[in-house]
Amino acid sequence: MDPVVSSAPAPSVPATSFMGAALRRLQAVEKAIAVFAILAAAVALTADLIGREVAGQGLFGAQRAAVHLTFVAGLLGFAVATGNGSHLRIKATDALLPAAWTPALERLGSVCSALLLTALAWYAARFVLQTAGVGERSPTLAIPIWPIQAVLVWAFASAALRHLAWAVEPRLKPDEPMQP
Amino acid sequence: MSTLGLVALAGVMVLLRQPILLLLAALTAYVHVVLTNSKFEYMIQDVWAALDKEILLAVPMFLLAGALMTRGTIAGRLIRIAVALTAPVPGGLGLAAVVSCAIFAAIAGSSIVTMLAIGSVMFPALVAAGYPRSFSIGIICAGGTLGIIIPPSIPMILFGIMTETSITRLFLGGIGPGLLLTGLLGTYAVIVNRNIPRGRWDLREIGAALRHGGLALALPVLLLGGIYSGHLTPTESAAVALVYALVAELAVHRELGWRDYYQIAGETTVLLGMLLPLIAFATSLSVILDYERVPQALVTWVQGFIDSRVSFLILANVLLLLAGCVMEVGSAIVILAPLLMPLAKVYGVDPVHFGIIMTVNLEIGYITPPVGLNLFVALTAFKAGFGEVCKAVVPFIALMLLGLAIVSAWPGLTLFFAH
Repeated sequence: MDPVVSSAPAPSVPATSFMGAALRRLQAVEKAIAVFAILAAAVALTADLIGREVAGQGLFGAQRAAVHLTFVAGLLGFAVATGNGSHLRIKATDALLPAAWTPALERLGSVCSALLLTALAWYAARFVLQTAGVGERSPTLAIPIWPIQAVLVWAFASAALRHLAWAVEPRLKPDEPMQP
Repeated sequence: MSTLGLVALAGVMVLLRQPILLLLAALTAYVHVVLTNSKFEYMIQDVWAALDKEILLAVPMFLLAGALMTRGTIAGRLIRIAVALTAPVPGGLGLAAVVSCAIFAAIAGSSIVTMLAIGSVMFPALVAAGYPRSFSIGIICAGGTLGIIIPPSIPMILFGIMTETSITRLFLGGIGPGLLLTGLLGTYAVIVNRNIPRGRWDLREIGAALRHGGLALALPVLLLGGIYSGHLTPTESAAVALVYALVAELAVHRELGWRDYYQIAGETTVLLGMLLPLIAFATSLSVILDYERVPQALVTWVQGFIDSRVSFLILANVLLLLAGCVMEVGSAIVILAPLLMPLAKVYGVDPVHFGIIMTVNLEIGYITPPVGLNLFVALTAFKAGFGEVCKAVVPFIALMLLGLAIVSAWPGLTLFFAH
């Protein structure tokens, strides 16, 4: 897994329509929260390490907090990567079908992705409700775990929404960054 | 019939241009719901369980540190030291490119980061100094691959997570093979460029380069020393790398603005968003296959026609080389490592040795067509044609295959540091 895919300038979502503008805002908000989460995870881990090295005692709950924050950053990063078109796909088979079919295939592909992601979001929601129902808590931190797990639902639903928007309005789909 | 359905689903999804991640999710869901007596819900539970682990924390920290160092000036400072020290050697600049890649690889954990960070400075310098363009492209592409074999290495972290092998031992196991490959590439650089005029040692320049890049040079020593002495876990070493890079950029080099830091963190979350779900779905697939005793069945089947360790290693290398030709490294590791590890154990291959063999195989995949990622980066970064890049890497693929053969046949090279 290498950063080349994302280090290419992220293609911006055209904002000429309401849907384009909404997706662009969604992307910015999700990115900001993900950045906050990953930086907070880094701070927690570093504080824990410094505490252990300097004061002989780590920061209580720091590792667990970092795990949860990384989870949030990674899942929101998944949605942002979807919005950037950064996820890798196999391109070697593109030439097997006539080029004239490309627009229809891409639209159908977006519908297929949206359906799969919706199913994932649906089952993730059931899982989160189940966890909330039994009152499961995070070990060490003793906070309810379901709000963190709910990011799963958000990430899958948000990615599904993007694919759905691309199926309706294909020009909103970002260019694919450099990849084989 | 159901298995045919799995193949058909994969084929249709590929033709519909689905991301690999969704392809993996769909196939995992199919295995859960259709091929076995499991449920879709269990897959989601596996996804959560896979991502709720402390061991994963090393991944975002190394990604963040790598992104910071690529954007910062650490690479340029390391290159200046390598160039100053190798000036009197025939083909010195080629050797400096390899050495710079090796040192940078000991800080960053990925191939592309290493290739871009070093290549963006070294490629124009090599061409300007009269080195053949083909050699210059090839050495940067191949040197970049050192990023995943010299520790720290993100693919090794993935291997450790997927097979429950000690990441610290994997890191230590990568030192010997990393030095071997660096030696092979460096020796080749010297031999083929022996007629290019060499320079002289300039003590003033060496001193200035060391002063300019001392902080950057100390980081690999600190990281590897910390891991080797057992003082730092992989996650702690990742945190140290991050803090060190941050302090170096913020307090000493001072060449990045706040907007750059935001951009770097944003890029890291995107990478994390590509990697974590991949690990999660692959873990779920691995769990259900393990529950259905598929790896054990595979072991029994393979034992029917492979009766020795050597035959197994040859077959595994061929399979992994082919996988490296068509699969991206992260996907290949999270999917294949749990399947192949039981086989490796049965044939008496040490898990750390097998992890390193797998990493070297997939490392070669970075420069083999049709999907070698470094080749595609070279197209853009060096403004070269695909044919030119493919031709340029041929001698380096041969060298790395030689390295792979040595690593596979000589476990001591890997296990010397790991034990």
